[in-house]
Amino acid sequence: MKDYLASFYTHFGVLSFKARLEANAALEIKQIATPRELSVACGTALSFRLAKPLDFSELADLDTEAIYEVIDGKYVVVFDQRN
Amino acid sequence: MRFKNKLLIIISGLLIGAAAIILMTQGNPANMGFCLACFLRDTAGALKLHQAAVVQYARPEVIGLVLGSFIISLVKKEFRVQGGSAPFLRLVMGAILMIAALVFLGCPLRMVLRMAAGDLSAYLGLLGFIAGIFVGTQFLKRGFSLGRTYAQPKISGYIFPAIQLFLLVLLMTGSSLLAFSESGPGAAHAPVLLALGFALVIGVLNQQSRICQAGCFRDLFLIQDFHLFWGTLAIFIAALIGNLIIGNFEFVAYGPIAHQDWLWNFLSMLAVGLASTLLGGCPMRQLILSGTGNIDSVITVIGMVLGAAFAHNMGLASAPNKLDEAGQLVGGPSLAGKFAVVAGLIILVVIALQKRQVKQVERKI
Repeated sequence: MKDYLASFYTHFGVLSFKARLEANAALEIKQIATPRELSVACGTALSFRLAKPLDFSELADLDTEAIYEVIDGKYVVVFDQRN
Repeated sequence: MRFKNKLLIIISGLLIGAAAIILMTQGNPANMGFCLACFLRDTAGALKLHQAAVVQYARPEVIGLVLGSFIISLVKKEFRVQGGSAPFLRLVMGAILMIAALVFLGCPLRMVLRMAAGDLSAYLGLLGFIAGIFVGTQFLKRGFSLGRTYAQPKISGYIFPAIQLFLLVLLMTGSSLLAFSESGPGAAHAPVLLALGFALVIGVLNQQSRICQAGCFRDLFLIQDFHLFWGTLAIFIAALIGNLIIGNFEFVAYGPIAHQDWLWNFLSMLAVGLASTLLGGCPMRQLILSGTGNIDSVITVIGMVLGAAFAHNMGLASAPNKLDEAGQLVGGPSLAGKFAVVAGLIILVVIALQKRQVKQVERKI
């Protein structure tokens, strides 16, 4: 089981990504404020858990900014579309 | 990290509240120690975009906020030039936000400062502001989006801070390129260096803490997160303590440079709350982001400046309530201002409905 956090350019990105996570058996999906260390913007992020790996390039869309694996409280980039 | 962030946002709020009171005692207008709608309006006047002679002064508070945010984002390597998210709609919504704020007579920050001085009319504004944010979050939950940002040419991120620096030079030299009020709120101001110093520090802290008065209620409604709320509460507490110390606290139907028309205090701040939520931040937050290379926020600020110019050129801004020589209450929102608020609310709702995205198919991979 691995923990992840996804950040977004828009709130709509959060909604559509969340729908895809739910369709792909992600667990403990939660909307949270984007951690300060990841962004100067005060948008919404999604934290979630996966029992098996997913292809994030398939899961993400243009509104997805980045996806991080959360390891010991640190954020490791696993998918990157940051400007 | 969470404790550090919470401490930072509380310190930011306390400093804003304290600075507002200190700047007021040092010359800024009553209950207007730090009001971004008023100060952008004054700056628009200084640039001769409107002809209201009593509100023309290039406020160093605006300059300092942008430059403080710009400097810290460079130091922390967080300066990222991005934009392109519905720029014209942002310009229009920024203008609507400003016009509505000038019908209320203050931005969300001044609303809190007025509340902290006992101005009951500002509490009606707060109810409207919260209602507007609630409506905005309903649109967000139903797919409202202005679209994502994209990387922009680096040079475009430096231009807005450079304009602020140029304005500061003009202000410090008393250049005739700028208009300076000789009476009224525009002539009431704290010493330039004091105001600039406070604003620079607040700009730095705000960029780091992400304090936002629209965001604080939006996050409560959307994700039940209180983090940003502590910042607004800290502003209120610091201003309240400051007002009590200097003897500026008294429960009154309307305070200085305010009006007691409950309906239009509510509706104007409803528009401010809705516009701020759709735009992703209150006026102070837009100014902070404009210093970090966010061109969308620059466009929004320009919209606010244009809105201020329209508000005064077209008689949309309210006149403060006061008693005339016969003891009659005069002032309040103008008919044109009321019309502008209703029209603004309609335009905001139409934009919000038009920019709803259809949720993507829940594809399984």
